[in-house]
Amino acid sequence: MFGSQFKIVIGTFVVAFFAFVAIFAPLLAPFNPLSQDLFNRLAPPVWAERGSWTHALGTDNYGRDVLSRLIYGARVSILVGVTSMLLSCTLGSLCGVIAAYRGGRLGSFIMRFSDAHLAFPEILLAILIVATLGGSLLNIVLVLGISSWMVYARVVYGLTLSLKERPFIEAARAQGAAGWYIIRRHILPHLLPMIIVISTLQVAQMILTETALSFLGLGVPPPTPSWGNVLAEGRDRLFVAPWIANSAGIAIILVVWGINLLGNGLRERLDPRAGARG
Amino acid sequence: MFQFTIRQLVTVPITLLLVVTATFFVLRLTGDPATLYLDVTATPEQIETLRRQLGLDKTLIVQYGWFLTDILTLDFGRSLQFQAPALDIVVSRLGATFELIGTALVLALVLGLIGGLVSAIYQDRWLDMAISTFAVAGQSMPSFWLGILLVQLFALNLGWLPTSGTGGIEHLILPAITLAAFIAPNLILITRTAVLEASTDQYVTTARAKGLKNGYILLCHVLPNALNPIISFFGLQMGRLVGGSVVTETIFAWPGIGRLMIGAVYQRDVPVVVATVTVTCLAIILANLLADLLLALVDPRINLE
Repeated sequence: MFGSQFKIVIGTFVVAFFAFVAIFAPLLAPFNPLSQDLFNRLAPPVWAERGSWTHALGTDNYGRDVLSRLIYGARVSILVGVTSMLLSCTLGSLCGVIAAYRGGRLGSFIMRFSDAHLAFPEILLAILIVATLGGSLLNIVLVLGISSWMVYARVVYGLTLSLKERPFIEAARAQGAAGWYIIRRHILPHLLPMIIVISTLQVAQMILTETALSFLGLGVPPPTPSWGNVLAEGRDRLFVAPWIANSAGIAIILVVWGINLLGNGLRERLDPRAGARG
Repeated sequence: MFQFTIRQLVTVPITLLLVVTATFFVLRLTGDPATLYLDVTATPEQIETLRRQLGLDKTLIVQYGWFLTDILTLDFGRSLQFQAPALDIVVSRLGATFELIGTALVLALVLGLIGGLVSAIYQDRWLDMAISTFAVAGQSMPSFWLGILLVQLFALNLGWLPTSGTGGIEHLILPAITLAAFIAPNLILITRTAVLEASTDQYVTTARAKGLKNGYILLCHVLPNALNPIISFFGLQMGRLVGGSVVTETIFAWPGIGRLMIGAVYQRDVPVVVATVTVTCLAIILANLLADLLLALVDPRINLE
C-alpha cells in the first residue's frame, strides 16, 4: 500500500509529538490535572454551545480540565507502555535465546511453559495479579511485562535455532568463544532488527491493554490521570458529557495508530519478505 | 489422524496443570487469601480462624496438593457472594458468553474473509486502500471505545437498540459488533496477505492458462490454500477474544463469565475467580486444539505424524 518510508516518517512524527507532550506536560497543560473546581463541573468543550477556550476539551465530573488530564495521562500511558515493553522484551528474548541455544530439557521446558502461558489471556492474568496485589503503576507494569514475554520468546527461539547453525557461529565456537559471548556478540545483533519491530508494535499493544485494565477499574488508580481511567470516567457520564470519553478515545487511537504505523514501516524495511507482501 | 488427535489431547491436561499451578502460586504468593476473603475490619482472631479453616497454616506444598485434589474432583469451593458451589455459578453463565463469543466469531469471520478477499482482489486500488486503512485504524482503536461510540450513536442518539442487558436479538447486536472488532481488523489484513501470497503460486498460473474464470480460481484454488494462516490465527486469537469478552460484557452488562469474573474480583470471591480462570483457560486450550485439527484437515500438506 503506502511505502515503508512514508509509514516510518508519519509514524515517527506522531510518536515524537506524543513523546514531546508527555515530557513537557507541566509546561503544556493549562491546568493542574488534579485540581477540582466543583462550581465548573462538566463544562462543555470549545466546539459545543456555551463552550470556551478556557477549558478547550471541557471539564469532568469534578471540574478537572480534561485537556490537562489527557496531557498528563500521556505521561502515564506512554511510561507504562514503554517500561512494560522493556520488561517483557528482556525477559522474553533471554528465555528464547537460552531455550534455543542451550536446547535440551531446559529449552523444551521454557517453550512448553510459553505455550501454556499463551493459553492464559493477559487480561485474566492481569485481573488475577491486580486482584491480589492491588492496582498501582508498578503492578500494572509488572503485569503487562510478565504477560507478554512469550511473543518475544517464540520469535527469538525460532530465529536463534536457525542462526546457531550458521557457519560464523560455528567458527566462533571453534575459536573457543564461550556461550554467553557468542549470544552477546554474534546472535543478539542479528536478532535486534526483529526485536525492535516486535517491541514497537508491543508498545501499542501495552497501551491498549493498560487502557482496557484501567477501564475495568484494575489499572492505574485514580486520581492519577491515565487515558484508560479518563475514558472509564467518561463512560459513567456518557449521557451528559460524551466529550470526556471521546477525547480520551481519540488520543488513544492516534498514538496507537502512530506506533503501529512506525512498527509496520520498520517491519517492511527490515524484513524484505514482509515488504514484498505489502 | 487418530494418533495425532490423541497426542494433542494428552497435552491438554499438561497445559491445564501449568495454568492451574500458575493460578495457585499467583494467588498464594501475592497475598494472604484469608485477608482477601475477609474485609479490612476483620480482627486478627477472625483471620487466624479462617486461616485454619482454609488450611493456610499448612505448608505451601500441602496446600498445593489439596488445591489440585479439589480441582480434580471439580470442587472449587463455595462462592462467597452467591453461597453456592463456584463451578455451578460459572457453568450457569457459560451460555451467555458462548452466545456472545459465537456471534462475534461468525461476524468477524464474515467481515474478515470478505474484507480480506475484496482487498486482495483490488490490490493497490482505492477499494484496497480504503479497506486496509479501515483495518489498520480498527487495530489501533480500543474496542471498548468503539462499544461506547456504538452506544452513543445507536442507543442514545437514534434510540434503535438498547444500551445494555439481555433479552432478544436486539440486545446482542452492539456487544457482538464490539467483540468482533477485537479481531476483525487483524483478520482482514491476514486474509489479504494470505490470499495475495497464495495467488503467486504456480498452480494459479496453470489454472489461468487452462482458461478458468478468475472467480473460480479464487474460490476453489487460492482460498483453500490461503486458509492455513487464517485458521492458525484464529487459534491464537481465542485468548484475545476471551479477554475482549470480559471488557465487552462489562460495557453492556452482559451476564456472562467475564462480568462474573470482574464482579468476583471486586467482591474478593476467590473460589469464583479460580473457577472462571480454569474454565476459560480450558476453553482456550480446546479451541487451540480444534484449530490444530482443523488445520490438519484442510491442509493435507501438514504431516500429522
